[in-house]
Amino acid sequence: MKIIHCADIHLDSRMSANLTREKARERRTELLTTFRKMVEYGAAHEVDAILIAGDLFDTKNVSATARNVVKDLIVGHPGIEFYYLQGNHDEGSFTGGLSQIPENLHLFDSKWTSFPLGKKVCITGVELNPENSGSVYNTLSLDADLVNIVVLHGQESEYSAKDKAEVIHLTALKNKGIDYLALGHIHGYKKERLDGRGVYCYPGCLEGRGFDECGEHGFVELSVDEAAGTVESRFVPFASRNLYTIPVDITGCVSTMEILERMKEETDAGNYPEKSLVKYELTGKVDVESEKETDFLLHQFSSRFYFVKIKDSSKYLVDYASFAKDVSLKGEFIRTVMGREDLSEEDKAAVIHYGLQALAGEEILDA
Amino acid sequence: MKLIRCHIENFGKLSDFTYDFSEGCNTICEENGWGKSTLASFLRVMLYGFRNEGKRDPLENERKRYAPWQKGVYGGELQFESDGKVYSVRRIFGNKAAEDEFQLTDARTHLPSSDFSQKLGEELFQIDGGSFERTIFISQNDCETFVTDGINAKIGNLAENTDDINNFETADKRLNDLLNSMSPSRKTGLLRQRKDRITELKTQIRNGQEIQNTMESIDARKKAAIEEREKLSAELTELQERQKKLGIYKDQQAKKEKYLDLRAKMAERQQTLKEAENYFNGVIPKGEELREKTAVCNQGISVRKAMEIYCLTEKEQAQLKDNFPMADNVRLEEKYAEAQELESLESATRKNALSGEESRRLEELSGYFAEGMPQEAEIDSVKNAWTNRNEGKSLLQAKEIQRKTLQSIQAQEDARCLREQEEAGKRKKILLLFGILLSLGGFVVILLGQGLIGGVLIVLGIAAVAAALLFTAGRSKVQTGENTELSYLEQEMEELEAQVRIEEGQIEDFCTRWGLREGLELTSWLVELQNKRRDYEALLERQKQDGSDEKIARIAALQKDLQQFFAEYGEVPETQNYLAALHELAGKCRQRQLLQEKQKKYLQQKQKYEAIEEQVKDYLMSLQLIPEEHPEEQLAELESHRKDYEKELQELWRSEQEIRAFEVKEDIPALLALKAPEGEESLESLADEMQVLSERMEECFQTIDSYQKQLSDLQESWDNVENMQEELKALQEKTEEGFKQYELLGMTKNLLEQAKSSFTAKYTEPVMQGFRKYYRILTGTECENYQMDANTRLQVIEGNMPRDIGYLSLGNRDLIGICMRLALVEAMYEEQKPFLILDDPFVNLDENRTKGAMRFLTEIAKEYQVIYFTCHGSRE
Repeated sequence: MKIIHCADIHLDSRMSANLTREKARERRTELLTTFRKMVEYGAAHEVDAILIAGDLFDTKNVSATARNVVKDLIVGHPGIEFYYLQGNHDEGSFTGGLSQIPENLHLFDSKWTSFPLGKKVCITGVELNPENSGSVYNTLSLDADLVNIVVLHGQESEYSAKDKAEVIHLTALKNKGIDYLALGHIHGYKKERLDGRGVYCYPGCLEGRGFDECGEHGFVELSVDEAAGTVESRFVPFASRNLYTIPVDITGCVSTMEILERMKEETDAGNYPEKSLVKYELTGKVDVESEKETDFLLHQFSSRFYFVKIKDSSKYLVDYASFAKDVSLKGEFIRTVMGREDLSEEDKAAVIHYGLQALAGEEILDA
Repeated sequence: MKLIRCHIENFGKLSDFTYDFSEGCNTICEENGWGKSTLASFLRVMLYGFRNEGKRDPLENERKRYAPWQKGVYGGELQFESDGKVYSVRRIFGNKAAEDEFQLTDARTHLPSSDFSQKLGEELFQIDGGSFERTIFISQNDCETFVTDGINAKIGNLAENTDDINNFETADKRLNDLLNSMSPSRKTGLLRQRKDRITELKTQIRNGQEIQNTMESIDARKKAAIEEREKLSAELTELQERQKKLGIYKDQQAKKEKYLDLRAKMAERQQTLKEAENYFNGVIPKGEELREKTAVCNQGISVRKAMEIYCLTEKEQAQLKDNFPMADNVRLEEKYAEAQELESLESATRKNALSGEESRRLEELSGYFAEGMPQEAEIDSVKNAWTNRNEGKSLLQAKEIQRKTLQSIQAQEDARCLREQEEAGKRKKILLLFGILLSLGGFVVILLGQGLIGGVLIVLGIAAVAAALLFTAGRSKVQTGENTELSYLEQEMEELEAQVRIEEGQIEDFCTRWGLREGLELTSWLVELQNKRRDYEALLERQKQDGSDEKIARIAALQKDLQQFFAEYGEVPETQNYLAALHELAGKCRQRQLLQEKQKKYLQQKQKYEAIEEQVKDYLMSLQLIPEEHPEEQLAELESHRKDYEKELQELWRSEQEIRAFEVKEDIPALLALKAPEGEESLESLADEMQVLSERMEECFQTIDSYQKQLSDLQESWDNVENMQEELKALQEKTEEGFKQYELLGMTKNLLEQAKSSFTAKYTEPVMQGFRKYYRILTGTECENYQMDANTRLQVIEGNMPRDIGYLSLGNRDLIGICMRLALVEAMYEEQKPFLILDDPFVNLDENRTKGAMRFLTEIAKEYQVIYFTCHGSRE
């Protein structure tokens, strides 16, 4: 038996933090398309069930398109059982708008609900809220002879936290007979052992939406051997685009062209696909008299990837010794700045950089 | 460094002008308009080039201003000394800088030198043109000075460091501009604009919060609508349940009614069956038997009808009773054959009998052909012979004409041949003689030893003899041919005449034998003879056929036999038409035979009918019925009742089966015990209620949908608010960063100025000392009211307040400026002193100060080479 475990798809996500309005709209469409492709993948690979461990939608007010596409996909694949556990983002957003719940859509509520699947598999889940989060662990009862898949949405934690609905108390779930704890909430793939019998797994989101969701994204495909009572799982990368943060240490670079070369080296080494969304993070220390133009750098990579962003986190390095006895306005200026005890080292470096850029006739501000 | 010599080719009004400079003070005292300022400018231009080349005004644009008045080469030469070496620089100016020529040579070797470039002034004095004009070059009415970056750089020994104090003013200006562009207070300032945008966004977001409230309100209403929909759905489910129950009751009720109805119908059937049974007198006829008897009865009806058909009429019975002798068919057939033969014989006799005319004709022809009769072929042969004879005659006539013609031609030809033979005989003889002679000649020539010629002559001679002989032979041959043709013709004619004679002999024999009368044409006679022959043969044949004795005897025998036959029946036919009489007799016999057969059949049918009638009567009796007159009707009625009875019996059985099946299928006791549900609702009323609920649910759906749409619209607006929130957040971050940058930039500006002041302060005091020295020389008094700030700006203390020297009088400003320039030059050039160019700088000084100025000149000429221009002897 095959089962897909996915979560945190966040359909209708705005995704406008980094992207233009047009690209954000395009990414929203891509997100919905990837979900459709995942369901079609399930149909093509004869998957029996799809577990959605929360946050299928990003908002309570689901767009008509997203709602209809999801409903039509569920209705259009009667051979697949959909188990949908609502998360903290999509509470009532989807089912409230349906006049009739499709027969192959199974919903959970604030009490443990179990659905038998096949002969030996039992899918159990509960939607956590402030009222039940403390008590659900005591009321979970599973048949040890079955293959038990438990679905929850929340932040993993080894310790319970009072009144925090979204915290999953992993310790309390140990030795309960769980074979596979299908979780949602964390947006990156994570799989760890729960106890001697089972594992817990976050599949991560289906598509990365911001640079806090870098790397590969997709879903988890479970293979359940009902006879042996075992569950094997593997991560299936499925995102149409991935996001990458490329750190570039520009220490020692004295010009924009040198920084560009350094960025190219890092880019080539990573072999990132053209459809990626890339953020370069410039780090390290550059000489206070060095020149760097981030607009120029951004322009050099804008046609290479779907989206490019540069964050300059580099610092200026001032060689005080070389100016200590310099009889010049520069020397005098640097000594004057360094003599200001009210300024932080970072501010001093910035002031010195501005002053030297001004004297050199260069752009005073980097961007 | 010092000037040694200058030569002007053409520069302004000066042309071909040379001046040799000496050490110390070089005073050039000339009247106004001589060209002193032009010369001073020439010196400056030779070092730094023209000023204001981009200006259109010729007075401001020096290249135009100093263009030669008298044309010619524009430029000149300047010889100077620097670091112990003497150089000569030559510049020729074009209409623009690109056309300028520059040449630097070592004055001693006259070889080109690369120690200095075209930027001679900057390289020589290490200051730019502006700084040069603020220090070394003191022009008329421009004595005031201020410290430029170049001066500062030169004083600070940073003239060669391009990104340092010499760029301070630019850097300061750029920082200032940047601060202004970022200003949080100016309207055009970036930070001010961002602050304004933040305020605007905050206001919009604050207003947008209302959207969230509205959304929550609508969401609550939507949830209420969903609850309402679910409640209605539950009610509908309950109604459906009730409808289902009521439906079940209705079904059961219908079944109960059906069961009772079935039972009632069965009772009714039983009654009907009993009534049907009562018709019969205890014995219910079996269907098959009844059908059999009915068939028998029907057969009886048919038999009775046949009896009626075969029953003889009285007349027929009378006919049967007389003693008419029956002739059998064989005999009748025999008599038929006889009658037919008789009729045939009589008919033939009637047909072949000759008429009187024919008998006469036969008699005549018998006489004519008494000797015999010619055969048909014989007559035809005579006809052919006659035709051949006529054709032969005609041919003979034609050939006779041809013979005569040939005979005439022959006579003519013979005469001509005779003539030709005579002439030919002569020619032949000559030719023969010539040939012989030629041959003989040939022999003679051979004998004479001319073999070849002799041979030729012999050949020619033989040829001539041969030709003579051949000619004779040809002529004889022609003559023979013509004679042959004529003889052939005559032979043919003879043969033809013989043939004609044979034909005529044959015809003559035939005519003689059969008596051709004289004057009768042969052909017509032959046709007539042929016709006679044919008539005679036909008549003989008919005579042969007609009335032989055997035939007559046979006719009489047949007539007798037939008359005897008919006599047996007493009906001898008068007309002797035996065939018709036989027909009639045969008819009578057949009629009698038919009557007999009819009679026989009638008796058979009667017997059969009586048997049937008995059988039916017995059957009816067995059914306890009295047979009636028409048993078939009785049987039909019986069958009808039996069918009715059977049908009723079948219906009853069917009813019983139906009831049994119903009882097996349904719980009869429960059905009989069925009670109506409580309440008075009907399916219709329930359907109405459900309809109302469905409509309300539909309304609910529409309401939810409407809320959903409103929420979607509001979500879009809220998305905008969220966009604004994101923009606000990003803007706040950028603004915060901007403020930080603004603060740091402000600090940069201050610290840079501070550094500059601090840096320049180090050489302020030496400059001030120089100023005081030159002030004392020039004025004879100590300088007490002047001070210099950190930016090397001279200030005058008036009323205990430092003031800008711009407040002083023009004369004082010139005086201070001259002193300051000298002080700066002194600070700038500690080692190699430059030359000084003073273009009448003391013009604004009063008399006392002018004297001081002269002292000043004397004093500075000790250290510097001075080129001093003046127009007045008092200042000389």
